Amino acid sequence: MDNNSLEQNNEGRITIDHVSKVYDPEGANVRALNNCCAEVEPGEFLVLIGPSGCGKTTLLNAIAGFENITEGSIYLDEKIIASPDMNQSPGADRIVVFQNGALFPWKTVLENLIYGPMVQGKMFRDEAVAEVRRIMDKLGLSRSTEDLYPDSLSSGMKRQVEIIRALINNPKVLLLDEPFRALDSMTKSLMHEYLLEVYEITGKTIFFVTHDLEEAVFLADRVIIMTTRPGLIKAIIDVDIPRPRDFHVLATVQFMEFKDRAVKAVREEALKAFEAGDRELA
Amino acid sequence: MANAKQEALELVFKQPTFVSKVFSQKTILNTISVVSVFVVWALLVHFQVYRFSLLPSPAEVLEWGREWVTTKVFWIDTGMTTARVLVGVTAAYVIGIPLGLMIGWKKVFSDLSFPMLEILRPIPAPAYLPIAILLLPWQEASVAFIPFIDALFPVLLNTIIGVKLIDRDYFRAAQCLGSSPRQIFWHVVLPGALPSISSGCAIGMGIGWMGAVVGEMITGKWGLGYRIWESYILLRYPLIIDGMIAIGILGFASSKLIRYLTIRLVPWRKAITESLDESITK
Ligand SMILES: Nc1ncnc2c1ncn2[C@@H]1O[C@H](COP(=O)(O)OP(=O)(O)OP(=O)(O)O)[C@@H](O)[C@H]1O
Ligand SMILES: [Mg+2]
Repeated sequence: MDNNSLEQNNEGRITIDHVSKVYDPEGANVRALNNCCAEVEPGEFLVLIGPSGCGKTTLLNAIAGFENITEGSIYLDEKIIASPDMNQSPGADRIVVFQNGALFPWKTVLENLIYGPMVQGKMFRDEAVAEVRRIMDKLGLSRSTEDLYPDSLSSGMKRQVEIIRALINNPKVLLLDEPFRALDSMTKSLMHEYLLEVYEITGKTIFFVTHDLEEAVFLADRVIIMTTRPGLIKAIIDVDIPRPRDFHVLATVQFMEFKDRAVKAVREEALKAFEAGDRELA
Repeated sequence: MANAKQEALELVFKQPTFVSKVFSQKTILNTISVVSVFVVWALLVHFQVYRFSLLPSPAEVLEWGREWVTTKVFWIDTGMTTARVLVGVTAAYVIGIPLGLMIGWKKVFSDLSFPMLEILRPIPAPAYLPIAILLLPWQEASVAFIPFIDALFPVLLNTIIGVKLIDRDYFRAAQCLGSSPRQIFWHVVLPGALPSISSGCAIGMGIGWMGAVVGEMITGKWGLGYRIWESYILLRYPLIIDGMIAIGILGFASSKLIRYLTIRLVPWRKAITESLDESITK
């Protein structure tokens, strides 16, 4: 693994091949994923959207290596990262940014940021600090936050730090599970633009889970729409809005059209979910 | 003009003066609570209400106390009890914290030890004393076994709960960032449980004092607990209350000390720890 974080590259293809997942097969037997097939291209910004409880988190956790799968296989580039008969394990080649944030509250911002390279033994402390500062400058995080504990940061800034903590490790893909759900709408829209900027600079493959349609269309190269449980891929929408994008895009006719298409596709699923007595589409 | 501004600022950011501190509501209420206990006690004794005629008055207690603290016996007693508490409670920390961390973290340990601990837990510490006397060569030392047992369970249980309450996402984030199990222990399990461990330590210290005194009343020739019991037998009633006051002050001081230390250990939660410790000592 090279040490040059933020190098653009052609890595980061995720291949999801006929993946099924059954929780608790002996007991409740909940089929959360059913025969899911999808491919995330290297350097693509892919957004997975679907009604609540359809299995989005399950799929993301399977890619991350947090949970095993029942059938099928998942590849990251040529490497197999999940299959029923292997012991899955998370790794620094695919890093998750969590919905509620998982910066270590007991470490300062700087300690959080150098954590990955330090525990992996990739760098000495000085090198890690230098690299972290280089990336902080590049991705616009003020150095004055270095010695603060996460709890004294604003919620938006926490997400910013967490995204940078992931990128320091030069992962092949970034996995984001509704990372902005807990934010207020103002901070949320700022974070959208921030993430787009980061994407523009780093060119990383991004796998982003949400159930906010506008967010999906604004951010994505492609939006994958998932069905109600058991989740499988229902439709894929190519969002051909040119990059770099900023909030002006939100007011264009083009954006409205894409959003409209997505709304229709998701609405059907939401209705089904609703009739099936499932939880709401938030 | 500048002067007026200065004055206005001083009005807004008025520093608490010595006088205003002394007459703050908190200080006044605290004083009232202490003084009123002594007043009520003095009145009950003075008017010989019920069997209070048997008790010494505050004045007598003060007089005896003044003399007592100048004797060598007082200092040996205090030293003995303090030593027992410190030895017992420190042993409880040394054994309880690592054990609790392992039990909370790894299911194997909890399955191995939990049934046994659940059976041992309801046994009151003094019940261990005969065994301790049989096993330990020096009777005075065996008393330290009681504060040890008394402090062990709050320390152990708080540590276990502290680990169990760590958000799963911190473990997952650490795994994503490439941590080995050992690194997860040092960077997630231990710091994550620290706030709860520190309150366990404070509680353990307080209970340790009770345990030492109980033990000294049962066996031994030295210590504040022994002296209280001896004073009862020898009809030196004022000394009973002097002994109680000494224990109260020492117990209070030692939990203050733990509080002082723990705030230093969890700098990221200073505010929370302070309020937590306040609720313990109050
Ligand atoms: N550990 C588990 N055991 C049993 N069932 C589970 C478990 N985890 C999730 N499920 C079920 O699997 C289904 C998919 O869950 P998942 O969390 O992947 O949905 P989601 O699309 O991420 O939903 P949300 O939008 O609410 O986050 C749900 O019906 C859920 O109840
Ligand atoms: Mg989810």
